[in-house]
Amino acid sequence: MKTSTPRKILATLLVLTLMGAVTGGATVSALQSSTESAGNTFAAGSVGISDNDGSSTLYSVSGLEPGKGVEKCIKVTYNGSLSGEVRMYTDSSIGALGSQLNVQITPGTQTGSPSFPSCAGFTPDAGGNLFSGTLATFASTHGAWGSGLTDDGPAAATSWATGDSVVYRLRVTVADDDTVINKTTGSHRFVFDGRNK
Amino acid sequence: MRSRKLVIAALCLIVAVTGAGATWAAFSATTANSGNTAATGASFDNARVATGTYTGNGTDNRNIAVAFEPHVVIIKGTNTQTGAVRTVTMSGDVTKPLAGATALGNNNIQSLTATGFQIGTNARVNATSVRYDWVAFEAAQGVMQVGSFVGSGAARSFTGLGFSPEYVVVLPAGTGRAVSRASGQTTTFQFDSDTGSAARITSLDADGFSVGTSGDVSTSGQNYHYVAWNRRGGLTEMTTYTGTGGSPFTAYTGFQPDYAIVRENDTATASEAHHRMASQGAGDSYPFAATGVLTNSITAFNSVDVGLGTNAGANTNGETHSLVGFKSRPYSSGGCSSPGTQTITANADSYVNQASAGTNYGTSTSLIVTSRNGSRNQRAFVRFNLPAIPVGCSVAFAKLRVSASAASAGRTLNANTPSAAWTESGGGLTWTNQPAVTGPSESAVAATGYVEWSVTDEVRGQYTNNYGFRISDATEDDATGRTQTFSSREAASNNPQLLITFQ
Repeated sequence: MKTSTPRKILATLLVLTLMGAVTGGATVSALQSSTESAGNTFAAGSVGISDNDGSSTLYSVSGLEPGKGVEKCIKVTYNGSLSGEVRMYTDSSIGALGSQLNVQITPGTQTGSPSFPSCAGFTPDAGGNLFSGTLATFASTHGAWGSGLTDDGPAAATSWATGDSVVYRLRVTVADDDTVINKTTGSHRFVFDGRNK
Repeated sequence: MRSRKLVIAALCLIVAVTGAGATWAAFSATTANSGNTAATGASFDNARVATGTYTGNGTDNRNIAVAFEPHVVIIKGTNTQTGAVRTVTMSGDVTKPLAGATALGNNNIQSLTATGFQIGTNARVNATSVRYDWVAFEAAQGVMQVGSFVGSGAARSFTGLGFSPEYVVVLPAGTGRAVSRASGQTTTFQFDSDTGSAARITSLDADGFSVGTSGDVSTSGQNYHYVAWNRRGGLTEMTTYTGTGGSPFTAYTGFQPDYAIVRENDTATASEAHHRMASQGAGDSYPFAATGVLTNSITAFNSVDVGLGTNAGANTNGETHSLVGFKSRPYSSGGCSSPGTQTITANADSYVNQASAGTNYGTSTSLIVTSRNGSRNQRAFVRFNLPAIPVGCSVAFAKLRVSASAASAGRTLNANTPSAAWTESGGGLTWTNQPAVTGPSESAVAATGYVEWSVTDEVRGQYTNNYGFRISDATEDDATGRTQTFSSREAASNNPQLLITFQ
């Protein structure tokens, strides 16, 4: 063990700086003056998330009547190495029908390998619906990460781990009210935003 | 000193490279499902409701205009006229009184037309100087369905409505009573004074309803007509309320009705149903029985409820009452691009003969239906080229009509849906290769002239797979032998017809 010199401290700081740059500033390490320890490495954790939609929409329906709707499912998989949480939100403009379009979002599992966006074999988690309200309400209350609808992962989990999947069932139903005639939503998206916890 | 400067420079570099330098962000990754859209139709399936009034003048064949082609019309006069109802399933000049043990009668509501209905001279509908109020309904997929069946004398269930009904009315062609059952009722009541019967409409089911053995719903060989309604928020409401016996009192509907029926659900003390049309004067309503205007039963149609007076039929303290409310749809006329009824003649028909199992009769001018033992049954098949559904329309009602030149009257004839395609001739349909049938049976009573089956649900299905209809005796292998001889499409006249009402 040798006592460090200012030059070596500078070199260490530069290395840390570069690592910070490479990893996007995602990890926090306290800076400290230290003795040299050769051979140490930093391996940054990761967050990754994907779904099974194959770039297809969950729903694109027209001619809906009062009380009628669709039931669609999307499977979200967490690929990160860090323990994570996933929040769901929409940052889209909802349109006139949004306030009369009832949405139920229910997490669960699905047996077999149904093709997207089929809900065949879907079993809801015991916790019930994550959300039940109009699409307009969903958008106004869950419009970004900060207000996103939080899901802590499969069933009783408290966070998402590598390989975890949750199937979200969306039941989208037109209000049983004839004033819904000839209305549309805007094109809207549902974002699943995963971050390390 | 130089080294200290380098350290400071390095710290500054860290701050610069890591961005804002104030916070450390979490890792983030997103996936999104984009492009989702939903749109409602420019029109909806409707069960339009209209009410109106006219003053009787005793003139026969008088036409009363309605803004649409009605499938059900109810009329009530202000004096001692019994309420009368006619459905689209009733053939010829017949109408059912809504009170009393009276069979279908003529000269009342003589017909339902494309522009309304026609009345005769009977005092129930057209006595001179008497005011009459009427309500007309239009059937619609998923909302209201009109049909008919032949009683068997046994308890049975009917399916194929496409919805779970909230209110069902059964109208016997014979002297049975007109009866109804609403969700929330534990029994089935007459429209006039009654304590109900558990042997009439026994349940409202997921896709239809069940009947018991009462003659009001199931006399063997007798025709019955029915109307079934579904609840539709904002338009059709079936609910219950507990009366207070006091006034003012209201029952919530969520909308302003144009027509409503109330009934005390009292199985101990007889009571009668009351109804009110929006065309009636302020505070007025009617019984269905042959008495005049009521002024303290259904007293008002308010914006979201029904005003009720102190009449026991509508507001007995502590008693449960049923309320059925209907609202018209003001926008609906613009929905269906070509509403109305189209009549189509058959494009394929034949019959099959069990006694000559390999023979095809595709070119025959007759269609034979026989029930006879010893493997001598015969069945008819008929198919129609369906017209395209007009833009914005749906099938509101459909009726199969086949004309009998000779009949074994009174037999129950079933119309069923074949489960596979068949070929009219040219090595086509025979007893041996006839397809099986699927789904519920529609029934009609055999007679000479046109025999009619309500086939609304079947025709809706034929827009997916059109295998036509099979007509057969409901009870084959009869020891005596019962034969119906219908005109086929090859006959000179009276060919098989399919009437489809689009709305």
